[in-house]
Amino acid sequence: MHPIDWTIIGGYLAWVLYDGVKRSRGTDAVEGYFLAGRSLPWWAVGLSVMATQMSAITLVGTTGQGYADGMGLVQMYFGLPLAMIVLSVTLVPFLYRARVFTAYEYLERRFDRKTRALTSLIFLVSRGLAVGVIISAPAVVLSVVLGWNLTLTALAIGVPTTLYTMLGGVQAVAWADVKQMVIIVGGLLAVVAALVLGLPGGVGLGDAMHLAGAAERLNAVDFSLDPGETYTFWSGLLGGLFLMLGYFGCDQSQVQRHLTADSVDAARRSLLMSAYWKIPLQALILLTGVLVFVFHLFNAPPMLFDPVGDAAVRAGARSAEYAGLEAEFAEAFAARRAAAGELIEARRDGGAAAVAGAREAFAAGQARVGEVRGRAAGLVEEATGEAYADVNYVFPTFVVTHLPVGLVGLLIAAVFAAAMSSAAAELAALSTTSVIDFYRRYLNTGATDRHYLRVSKVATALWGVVATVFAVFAANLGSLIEVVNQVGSYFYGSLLGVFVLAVGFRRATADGAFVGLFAGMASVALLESAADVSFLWNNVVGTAAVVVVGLAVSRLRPGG
Amino acid sequence: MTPTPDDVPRVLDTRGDEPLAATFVAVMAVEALVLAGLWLFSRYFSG
Repeated sequence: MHPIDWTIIGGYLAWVLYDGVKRSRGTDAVEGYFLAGRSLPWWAVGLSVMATQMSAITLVGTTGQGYADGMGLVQMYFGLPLAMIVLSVTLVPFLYRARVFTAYEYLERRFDRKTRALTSLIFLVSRGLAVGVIISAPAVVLSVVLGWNLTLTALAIGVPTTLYTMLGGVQAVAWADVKQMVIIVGGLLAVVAALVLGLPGGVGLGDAMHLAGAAERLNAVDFSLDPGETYTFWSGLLGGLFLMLGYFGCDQSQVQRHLTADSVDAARRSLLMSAYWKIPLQALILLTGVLVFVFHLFNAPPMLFDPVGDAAVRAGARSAEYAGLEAEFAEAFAARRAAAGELIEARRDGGAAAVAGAREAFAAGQARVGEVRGRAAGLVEEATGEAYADVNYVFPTFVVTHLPVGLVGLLIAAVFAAAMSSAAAELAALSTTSVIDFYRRYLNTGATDRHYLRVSKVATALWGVVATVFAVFAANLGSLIEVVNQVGSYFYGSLLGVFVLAVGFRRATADGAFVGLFAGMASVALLESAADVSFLWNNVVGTAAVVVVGLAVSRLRPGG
Repeated sequence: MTPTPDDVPRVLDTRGDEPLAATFVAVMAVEALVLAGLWLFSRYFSG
């Protein structure tokens, strides 16, 4: 990598750290440390909300998804605007006025301490594991693509994040988020500009989009009613609505963001920023991946993007077969490139029949490239004994291989920024829940604010160490990472159900909420094992089960 | 012991809040436009 790129990355890390330390001055009380003294303007909170949601793996994984499967993933966010409206009318003003530090603290006031303890424990377990993955996943990808040492890469993400979160508290996290969001969006726009300007001579943006469409990369809206289809208009609108209600309304890493706003109205407005911008932003990220796909219609891509899988086959018994596949892949690529050129020509000069014929030839070329790649992936799976997926490597490989000096540094800084903004929010939320819902509630109930502040900083540091150490070791635990990523979908619907009972049903009881929570999680586990349905429906089922069982138990034991 | 219903604050207590009804309508209108735009974009270039 060029020294200018190193300078940009180093400058970014130093700047984030310096700014975080500078902001530690305003955090001499627990409320200042965990809630920024409820002083932040709506736009800063809004950007912080968006930065928290966008982890590095969202950035590199979503662009890879755009490259491999097209824009269908955007449908997952179709329920988000409505979720933000519902939350800004219900839970957000409600929690803000309750003057709580955590969403779960409110549940003790409304129900009882066992409901609060269980929900906060669920949060600590699920997000405690997830924060390690938030650091680990981009560290693995960057270390493989750039040839960096994995441990040092994980430390380069984990250590500054832990330091500025520990020293500056949520105020530092939120203001770092604002800057990180600017870097991420600026970096994405720069890549899109580079991709458009880098189209071959004679190929316009319209031609590029027609090629992407012919390769089925632009199917952004699918009205299929099949519940097994992961991303459809309906699963996104309804399942996505419940997922976003659960995530933004019940996950402390997001609740803590809007509790830092300087008024109830600012908290509500901060969520509405995502309501306006999240779908266009996700579409931009996916479109970036689609443009990388178009770029590789004219510039040969690697047969497989993960160099570790590639090296494993080359070192194995079937290396000769793999070399043969590479020759086949080169031929298939050349044929597809020619077919792409002919399709562009046919669209300009030919009639409908010529366009249809050229489309068919291009689709056949695309299928051939996919088929050779599939066989190569099969060889990797045989060599490594693990399922092969390389979507997370597509975008970083493109960045380091094809972008000019300066942009490489900016984009890698953007990946760091995405990882750090999400990890910092999780660390702050984990620390808040540990201290407020457990330490202050059970272990040391009458200490001074100064004592709790000290403990809070220690808790943040400890969570940071746990997350960074987990990130270093999780790199070798591929299947565990998948498990951790799925954990959230088991809990969000059920947690949302408890909050629906709390704020929506005045006669719901503590026993009803407690039993309902278990019923919700059991329902999701049952659904997962018994039926092949999109994970987006888990949240609908979990919420419904908690509310139905919770209300039934509340009716049977009205005083419980 | 669960608080009695009278102890439980009302969730839709909007007294003193800035009225955001027009903003909510704008959010839904923008979403409808964005979804329609995505659908048309996808139909136009995929067809």
